[in-house]
Amino acid sequence: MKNNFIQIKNARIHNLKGIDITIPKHKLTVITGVSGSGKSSLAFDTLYEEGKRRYLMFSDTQFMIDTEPGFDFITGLSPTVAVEQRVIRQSNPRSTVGTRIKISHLLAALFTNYGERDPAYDDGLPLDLSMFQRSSAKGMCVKCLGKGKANFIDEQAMFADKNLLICDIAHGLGRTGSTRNMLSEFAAHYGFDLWNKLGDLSEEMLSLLKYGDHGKSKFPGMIPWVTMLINGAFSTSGRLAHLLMQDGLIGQHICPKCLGTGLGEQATHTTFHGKTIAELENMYIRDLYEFLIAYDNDTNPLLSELCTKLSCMIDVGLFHLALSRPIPTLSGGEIQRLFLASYIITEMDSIIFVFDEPTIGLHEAEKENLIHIIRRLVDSGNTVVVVEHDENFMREADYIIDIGPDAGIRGGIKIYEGDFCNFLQCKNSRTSPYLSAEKGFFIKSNFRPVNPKKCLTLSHATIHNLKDVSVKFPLGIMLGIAGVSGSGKSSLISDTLVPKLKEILKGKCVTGEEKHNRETEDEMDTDQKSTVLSNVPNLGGSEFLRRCYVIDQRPIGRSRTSCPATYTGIFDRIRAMFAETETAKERKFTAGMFSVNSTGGCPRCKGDGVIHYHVGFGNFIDIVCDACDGTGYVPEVMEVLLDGKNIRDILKMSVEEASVFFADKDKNITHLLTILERVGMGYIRLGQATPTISGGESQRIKLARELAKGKNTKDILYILDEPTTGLSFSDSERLMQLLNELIGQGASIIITEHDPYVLSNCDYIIELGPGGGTEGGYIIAEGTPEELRQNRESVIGKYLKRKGIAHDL
Amino acid sequence: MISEEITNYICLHHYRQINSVLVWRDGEIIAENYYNDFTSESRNVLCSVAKSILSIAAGIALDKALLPTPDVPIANYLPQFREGRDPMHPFITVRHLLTMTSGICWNGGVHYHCPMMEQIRRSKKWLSHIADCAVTTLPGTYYNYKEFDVILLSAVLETVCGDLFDFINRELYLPLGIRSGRWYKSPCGIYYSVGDGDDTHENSSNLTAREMLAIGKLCLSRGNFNGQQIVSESYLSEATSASKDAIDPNYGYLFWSGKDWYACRGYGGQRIHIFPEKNMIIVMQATPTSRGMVYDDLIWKIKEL
Repeated sequence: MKNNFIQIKNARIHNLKGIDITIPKHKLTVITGVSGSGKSSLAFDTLYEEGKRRYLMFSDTQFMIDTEPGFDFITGLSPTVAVEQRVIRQSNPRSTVGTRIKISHLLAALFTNYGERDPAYDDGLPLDLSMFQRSSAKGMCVKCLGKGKANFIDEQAMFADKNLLICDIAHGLGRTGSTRNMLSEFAAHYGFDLWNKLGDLSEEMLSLLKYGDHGKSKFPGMIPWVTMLINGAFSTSGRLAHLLMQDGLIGQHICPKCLGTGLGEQATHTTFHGKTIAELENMYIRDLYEFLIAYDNDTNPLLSELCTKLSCMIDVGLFHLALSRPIPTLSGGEIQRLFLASYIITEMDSIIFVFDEPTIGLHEAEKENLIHIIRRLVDSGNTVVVVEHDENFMREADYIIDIGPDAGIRGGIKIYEGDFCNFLQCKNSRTSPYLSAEKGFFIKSNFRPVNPKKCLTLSHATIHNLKDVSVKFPLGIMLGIAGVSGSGKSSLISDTLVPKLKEILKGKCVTGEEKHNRETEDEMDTDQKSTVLSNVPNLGGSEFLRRCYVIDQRPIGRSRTSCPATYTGIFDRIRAMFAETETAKERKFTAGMFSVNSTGGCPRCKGDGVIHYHVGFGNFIDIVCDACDGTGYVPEVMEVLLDGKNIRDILKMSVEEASVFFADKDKNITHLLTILERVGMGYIRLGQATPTISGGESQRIKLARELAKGKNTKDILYILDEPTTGLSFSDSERLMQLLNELIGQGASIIITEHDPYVLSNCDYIIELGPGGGTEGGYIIAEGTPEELRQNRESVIGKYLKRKGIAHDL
Repeated sequence: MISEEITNYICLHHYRQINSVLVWRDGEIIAENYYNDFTSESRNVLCSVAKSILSIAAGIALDKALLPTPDVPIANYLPQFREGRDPMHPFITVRHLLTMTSGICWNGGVHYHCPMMEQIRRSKKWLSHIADCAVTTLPGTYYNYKEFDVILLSAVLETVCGDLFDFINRELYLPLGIRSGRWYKSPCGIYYSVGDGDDTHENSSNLTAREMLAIGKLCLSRGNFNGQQIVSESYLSEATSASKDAIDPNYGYLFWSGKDWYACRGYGGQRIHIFPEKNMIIVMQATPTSRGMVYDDLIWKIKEL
């Protein structure tokens, strides 16, 4: 009997208040509760961490250091695997769907062993696996180094303006640094000046300036020099490339050597039934599966293996991706399902799986399929524990654990444990009232009318799978964009509308991309830009907008030490307050002393508070830094107190706690904290490290930061992507209320969304579909939620809610 | 006895792959040790010592005005670099090849296993392949030890010297009394002593320890061998000292250099180390293994004996 349960005694990590939990094995357990109530502390920080620790200790690959456990004992554990969205978001920017799930490896093996070689390129030597891998120096195209494309300079545009000063060519390149030094020497030698206009130069001089004097001077000429700066593999100036791209001075072309495949000669001239590996990698997974299955006759083990893996990918709803799709462009839900697929493929039993909201980013129709797949994991003997807010998932669960009642210090108590039916009767839970007919999610009944004159009009959008879409986006309302995964929602909004708005509104369209100067980010931006330019859709109606904020789910910072406090800017104010205290003044501590990135940081752990040890097999173990006792600060900083709290105490506060603490101290901080609470982020700690912040949380923090800037939201367009991701029913309601207030003040909102509750609260919905990938790209329905309910063409319609009829499933 | 000390040292350190150690000082050989059944007639692989030999050949070509200056663009000789495949091509000079600063992309791989050689070896036109490679740094600004520059140098010399092995044989090997087999020549006509990965190709360029010593003596005597000036003193002194602009303080023109020494060094322990102030040359040959042993401790030890 004992073996049929996992028992956790006195769990007390973070805000958990010494709770005892029993989780049935070989069953599907859902842990619910409001955001910040302690669900993740229980599922991930207690159950998963201990399961992983014991397994690794047993397998003898690790040394273990006993840290203080957050519980008394856990019994009934077996090897535990967690699929968290937040962790896997931090993956190598070059990894793709294919490389991550190792299918690219199999495909490479297939080509190595079964590829048909072009006789013209067949050198008689056997093919090598790495020839089909663009990350390998043996396989990559030597010209583009595996990228498949290269930047080129529009020479005419760069030298078109005859009034341009020489030092201002290419975004003022000649005004600073080594370019200025080389260029002034060069200019002096040939008798001109950096402050001459281009028009002042003779043809001969102009040619020297463009192409140099073939090695006589150090300066190689403007064109080679800029090419070098933007294309160099080792010293790429991503920022310069970005600026020049914006100015239209550089464009991209497909690498002429590999024709965009990124692979070397042998790989580009080897085919499998007429297709090259690059062609197969660019197919949608479903199309690829159908292509390969036709040749699978059980004689080729590689092919069978590939088909099995691909069918798993299709099962988890990833049929619309291509193997070549970069991981950083996937949504959190897609990433999680990608990992889910890899676990299903391995066909293990007696494993404990811990999932973090696997339904994120899924259409209602797809959720059913996912629940079915997870059920299959359970049926084959595994234990599945899911942290989830989704109603249908709860209904499917064998066992429900509700943690609450509220967030932070007001949470951490076990509210309910048992089956679903009895859960509905549970009075203390913040979740059950929404499930039973008792409360129900707020569905508004007053829908704002559409003003046909006040619309953004987009015509002939053809990017990715969009089928020449022309559409009107009504303004001044809450507009929902719906559709199954891969139906073209992101193609329409992020890849067409946003770049178009950016082109027209320029600096008044804020996308948050400016913050990222990293090469890969820039590459992605330029991708978008170049594709849009080549498609030329038209956009009208932008005159109705003053500004546009695109608030996406990308992380809020890249530094290890960035956190909500640093991102929102309140940390600067807090540090200044500390520097103003008597103790700080006495000791001559400046604001920098209160930053771990500056003088105040512990020199041993560099402000992390923990030291990471690599313990083999790609696993790390974190040990509390003994130099600073885990504070991340040099000890003397801890002695400076602000109203009894040191800087570390403050970073540990949740937004809610902090807003009480700062209430009578600083208006700006309080204002921002209030808005953070309103977007549902009351539970997040001020110092929570960026890598542990989910995509949905990042988005809401960004939203709060934008909202805190000014009160006047009239004629501002906010573009959001599943803003309620990861929020409980009650927090979602608050966020929707806030968004509605914004519209009341004259703003417009476009939301890409799957959640039927959120969609039911939109004034107007545009639905793409009908399927994903090649089967999508059409607008299949549009209208008010009520109109979509009536529309037979609509897929989402039947899932939409009406006021007072919360549950019709 | 110095040769006994060397043997003791080698035994003590279990340097089982060393085949020969030869020490020359003030005009005579003071130690000549052979191991693993090697004799004074045994030939051992050169590996990258061949790069320095190629450098001497380039010096001879410059002396004979077959090349006007090290700063001549390679595009003058190699049409593949005149086709505008990369805006940097016109700037690459012979000097850049000699100093490993052409800027052409190169990934040496882990333990110098040269993954980029795999592709070029399988391509039919080596020069065209290199001309297609991205130039990732401005020529002359970034030192990156790589095979591409050596292959290009070989190709340039071939265009001005006639058959390059015949040239080396006639102008360098014969006067020095070296009898080497013909170097490997790729199907596309480029002499590349390392060959295409097949040992028999590479072994045709093998030399004896005494032949290696002859090269050392030529360098020590500033190009003069038994009264005959084989390569100019000025070239050798440039080639064996840190390259102009000190891009890499340890590298000249395909020669390595240090505080009081310069050397021809090849993978796995092939060495011709010259200490001009001590009037001393140390030659070492070894069987290369994948571990890439260097045995430099032995060289420094002998130097102090």
